Amino acid sequence: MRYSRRHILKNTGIVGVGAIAVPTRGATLARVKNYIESVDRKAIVNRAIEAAIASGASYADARLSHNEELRVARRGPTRTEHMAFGVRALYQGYWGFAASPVWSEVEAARLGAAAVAQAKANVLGRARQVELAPLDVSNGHWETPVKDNPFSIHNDEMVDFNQGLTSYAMSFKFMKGFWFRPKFLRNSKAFGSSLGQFTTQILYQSGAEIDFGLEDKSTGRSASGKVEEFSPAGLGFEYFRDRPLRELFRIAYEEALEDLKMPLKPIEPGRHNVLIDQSGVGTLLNQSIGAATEVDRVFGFEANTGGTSYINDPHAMIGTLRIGSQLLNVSCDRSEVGSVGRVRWDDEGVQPAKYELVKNGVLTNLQTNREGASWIKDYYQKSGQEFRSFGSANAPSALDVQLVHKADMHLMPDKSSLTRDDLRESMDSGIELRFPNASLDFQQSTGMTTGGRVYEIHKGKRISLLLDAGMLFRTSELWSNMTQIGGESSVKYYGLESSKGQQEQKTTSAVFVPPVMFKEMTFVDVKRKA
Amino acid sequence: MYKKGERIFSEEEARKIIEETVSYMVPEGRLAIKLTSWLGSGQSWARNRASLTSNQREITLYVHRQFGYDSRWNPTIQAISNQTDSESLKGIAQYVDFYYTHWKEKIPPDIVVSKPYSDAKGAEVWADKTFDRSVVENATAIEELTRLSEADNLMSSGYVETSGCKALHYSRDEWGRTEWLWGEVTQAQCSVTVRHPSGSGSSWAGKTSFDIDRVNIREIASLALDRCKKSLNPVRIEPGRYQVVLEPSATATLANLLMSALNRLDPERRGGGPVFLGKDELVNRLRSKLDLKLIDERINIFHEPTDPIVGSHFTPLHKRVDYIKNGILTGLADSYLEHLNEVSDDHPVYSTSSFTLSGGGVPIDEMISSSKRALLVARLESPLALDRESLLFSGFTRDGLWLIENGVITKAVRNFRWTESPLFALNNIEQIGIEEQVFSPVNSRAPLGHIFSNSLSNVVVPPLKVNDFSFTSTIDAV
Repeated sequence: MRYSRRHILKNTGIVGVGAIAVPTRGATLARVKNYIESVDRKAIVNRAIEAAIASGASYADARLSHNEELRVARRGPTRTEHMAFGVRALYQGYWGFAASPVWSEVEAARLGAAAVAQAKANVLGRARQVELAPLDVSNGHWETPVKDNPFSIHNDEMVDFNQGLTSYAMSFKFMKGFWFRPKFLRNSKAFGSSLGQFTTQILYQSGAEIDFGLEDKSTGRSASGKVEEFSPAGLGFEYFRDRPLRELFRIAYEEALEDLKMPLKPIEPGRHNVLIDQSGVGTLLNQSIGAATEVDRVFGFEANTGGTSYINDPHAMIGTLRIGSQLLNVSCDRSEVGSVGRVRWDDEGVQPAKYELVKNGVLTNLQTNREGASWIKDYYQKSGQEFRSFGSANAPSALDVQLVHKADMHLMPDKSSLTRDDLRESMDSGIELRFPNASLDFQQSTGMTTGGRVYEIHKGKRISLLLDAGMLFRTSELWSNMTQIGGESSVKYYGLESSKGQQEQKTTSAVFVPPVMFKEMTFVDVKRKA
Repeated sequence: MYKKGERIFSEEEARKIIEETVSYMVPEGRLAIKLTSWLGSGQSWARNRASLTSNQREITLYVHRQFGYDSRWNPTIQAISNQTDSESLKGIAQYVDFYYTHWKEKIPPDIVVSKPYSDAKGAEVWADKTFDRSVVENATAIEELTRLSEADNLMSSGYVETSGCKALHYSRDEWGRTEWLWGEVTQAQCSVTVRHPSGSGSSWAGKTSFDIDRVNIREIASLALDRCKKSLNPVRIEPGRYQVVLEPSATATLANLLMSALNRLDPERRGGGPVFLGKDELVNRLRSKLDLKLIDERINIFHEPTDPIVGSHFTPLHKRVDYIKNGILTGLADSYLEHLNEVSDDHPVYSTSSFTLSGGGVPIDEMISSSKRALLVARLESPLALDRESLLFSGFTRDGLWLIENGVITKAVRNFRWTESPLFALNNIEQIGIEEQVFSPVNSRAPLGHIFSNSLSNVVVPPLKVNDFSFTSTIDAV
């Protein structure tokens, strides 16, 4: 065996960067490119729009993006810097788009003309109607308010923070591994359109995956846990610094410690009442109602990739379709402080509105962009709502065209002060789901939860861990079977990543969710074959 | 950045950019730089109309320094940017070297023997025709095919993309020996979904190749249209175990699940640790079920880099790899350079994303006509791992599921959830068909990751007739 340094590190449990003295001076997080703000972004955005209009576009918008990303892993940092310039043009009802990494006036003119040329290729006789919902043209600059800009914090501090936390966590009994993977983003963008709008924004995102594993060598049992409070949020480094991370870890550790001693049992397939934790409710909300109400999915624009929606007859369904029990109220809001989807303007220059997506179990709106809103214009007029985009146009960078991505969603809590513990204590017998994954079909109509931890509840207490248990459900049945929702104080925040589109685009949106009890859900042994 | 009239970097220009970056860096220690430039044209349509046509350019400069050869434990510094002006190059160079200069004192070097690249060349996978494809030509095809589906009162949606990517790899080892590797690749992909407006039927067809001539948009669309008509009004039948005729796309899902298990997993990943097909006390990092029979002895799975269908100009090891020979596991893929030094040449590097699975020659029509009662499966979708040791996965059928009775297709069937392991399925094969390339596009826009990463995913598999395939429940989606 070749005995090298890595084996020593491995065997002593000291790993990666933490074991290495880090530099004490130097602006290590300086941007690769420092002069972004000195570029006259308004001039080049306007140049692109002029070029598109001169080529015959009836509408054009241009976006600049400068994304910086920092991942701090134990073995070293990964730093990404990405600039893009994208121009979208509408020509006789057809959309064209052109993008490149070059920010210049010459490139602006090329992209503007290229976007129109792309659209023109499709004008071959048949009309395509595009109506863009009206918007209030507004100008200005907005930044995610952050206390500690993560990009100006010295790397030593990040590494110290990581190492301190890791050492603290590893000092607990049975700890086998601890993973802390912070990631920071700064997305500086500019948007201009042929309506005369010009806006700039700087959006921040901070978050970390914090996982750990426990092993009791005397019994051979192992357990895993996670600190769930640090999913991506629209905050700076204060997200970590100003919160009791160690205390949160200790709470998660104690829960995992209980798992280590809890009896194991196979799942008894059949119907069970179930308490699903906030993480599970968030995942289910995001993947079912969240995906099914994206207007482009509903109208078949995602059919060739992610799929369509169980809302398959939108004109008849919006305003009437019952998709859950009376208790189900879901609203969308991209203005919540600290939420990952918080913006002043979306990627079409629309100021997002707060709106009800589901009211007392009935579908009342869809997530829209400006074009998509016009497809359900009749409904807005009939129901007396304003005809507008509700602000879901988004893209990871200006290299990608803007699509309808999920807005931040709130599942309305109960008026009581019920916590997850209260809900569990009220159960005579049933199941509690913690951190489940969900897999839904390509219309979000049926699904199954897998993984996570599944507890058997008896007289308000967790009495055993159920192996290989999964909940098999129809989406409509799931949300109709809600019996009790947790109170306001039990609401938790998660930033969840989703992807769509060809080429694939990944974005992060938030859910604010309480724990929920459901009656008589079907549980199966997921590993059992037919 | 780009010269006038130029759309993508030439080798000479890429070399200049990398040389300039190197000139800003400390002239010692291991260093790897990869520069790619990409140009792509994407056209999507939905509801029988073109919905977006786009033209994009992208650049990726990837600078990477690593101490020793084991990326799991030794510090690694990575920086990525898409700007190539001098100021940006200086910035990225200084960022990486800031860490390098401070860490190098503290870290004793690993003794490593670096192997030079092979002189052999992979297949030519650049086609000017693909790169120069005009959007007008595609738009005309899209116009025609959407008119056809509109005339049939069906809704067509789809995507066609042509792209070209050129990349230059530079690497320097501890002794200052440098190597350059230049690669060019084009990709054409087209996929089409045709649905009934009421949602009572859906079908799909798709193809990828480096060569646009092998991706016929009209053919793909008419196949999808034809199959949609045959998939209307599916009936619900009981879940259970069925004999199945898996079309190549469905076979590819299972084969990919098996092949990705032949990659050594990254032990730093959660729940990670090398897992090569099952728990085995004798298994260490380098051997597992090697030389043991894994699947049906008629099956061979291999990668032949000189075959333009699966080969790649970018792969540094231009030699044939046999992963499975007559059902016996004969090769593992490896993403760690370290193992280059430890394993023999028979277990070479990297990436099981391109492969050929062969072994039969039975036409699919014969598979159908010889079945008494079976299901014809178009696609096995979104597999989710249930058990990594037995490779048990669960997913859905999508865009085509038909019942075969007494040798003929009698009706369309509602979709199922399946729960199955490729190890089971590939051990219960009744008949093996004629292999063909399936739809397997890769994101060639920003091929990041390790400098040796393979940027192609070309899969060639046959249809298979498999016994006792497990369908565990029906799903509502059509």
